[in-house]
Amino acid sequence: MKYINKYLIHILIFIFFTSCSERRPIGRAADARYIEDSSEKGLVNLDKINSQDFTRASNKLLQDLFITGALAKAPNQPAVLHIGEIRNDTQTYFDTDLLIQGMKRDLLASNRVRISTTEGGGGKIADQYAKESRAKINSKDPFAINSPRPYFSLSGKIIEETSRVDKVTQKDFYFLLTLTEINNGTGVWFGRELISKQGRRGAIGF
Amino acid sequence: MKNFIYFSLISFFTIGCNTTNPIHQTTKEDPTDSSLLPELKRVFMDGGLERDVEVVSINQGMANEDLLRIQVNLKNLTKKSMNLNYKIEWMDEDGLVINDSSATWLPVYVRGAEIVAIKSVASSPTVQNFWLKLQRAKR
Repeated sequence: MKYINKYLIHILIFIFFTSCSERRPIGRAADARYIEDSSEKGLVNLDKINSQDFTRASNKLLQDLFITGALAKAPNQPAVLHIGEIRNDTQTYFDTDLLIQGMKRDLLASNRVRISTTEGGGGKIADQYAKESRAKINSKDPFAINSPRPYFSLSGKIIEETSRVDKVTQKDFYFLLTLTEINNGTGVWFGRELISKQGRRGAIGF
Repeated sequence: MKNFIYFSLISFFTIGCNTTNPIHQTTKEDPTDSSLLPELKRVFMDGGLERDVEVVSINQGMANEDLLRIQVNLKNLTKKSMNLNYKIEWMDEDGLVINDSSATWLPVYVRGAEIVAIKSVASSPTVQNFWLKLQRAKR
């Protein structure tokens, strides 16, 4: 019996030292590794928008845009799209290209639009460029026809809302995009994607 | 002492390193099938989700005139709510996966015995088929 117990203790010690050993090759803290783009093993943090959130928001917004068929209504295909101002109204700084760049790639892949990269707008108004373009068209400015004139303009903003009950925090990030048809100055698609995260503190993976 | 050792051994084998989380995958049996309710091919591992979740059907159609659009009808076969993650990978006519923003894991919450609809639209007109991947969420 004593012999069996000794044998079992050796097995236990062996399992303890060899199981999962590839995760921590040198010391307890050495566990850095690469993860996939927008992996389910990425960090879930409450305080800011992370890479999964940007990808998810751009994916959902694009799908909504495709379903409405707004891009297919342009008389000349592919229509020229201008990317207007995307305002970051959250508490943390980030470049809004993190949202838009993926959308541009998928929009081009759809063959419905070409994206203007030589024209730019700005200002406090939601879509300053669309406004200026319309002013040029109305005043018959000869410069207005020198470059391919965008048919659509995309603008938007990202808003953050925080709620707390006891120690539980909920962060709501609203991604609001508007597609404007420049010819008549009206919105043809209003996209809204909400990403809500709730918890006491961040976690690894979801 | 003997009982303690046996208990410890069993614990090590049953709960130690419990990181396997098999993925349930579904695709169209025939990539060129353009019917509204295409035949499906399901791939799953034993011990995965096949006992708890069923892909009831997949509806397909077109969005924006030429983009493949699907709706996956997913049923929770249990009484308990569950958190799942899903990912849709789009493939062109050659079976090559398209690199777009759909290829990301997204969470879905399914209540007991509920049927939920997961919707997605391809971003390219060249897309013919897809892989739906399902996984149990971490929490």
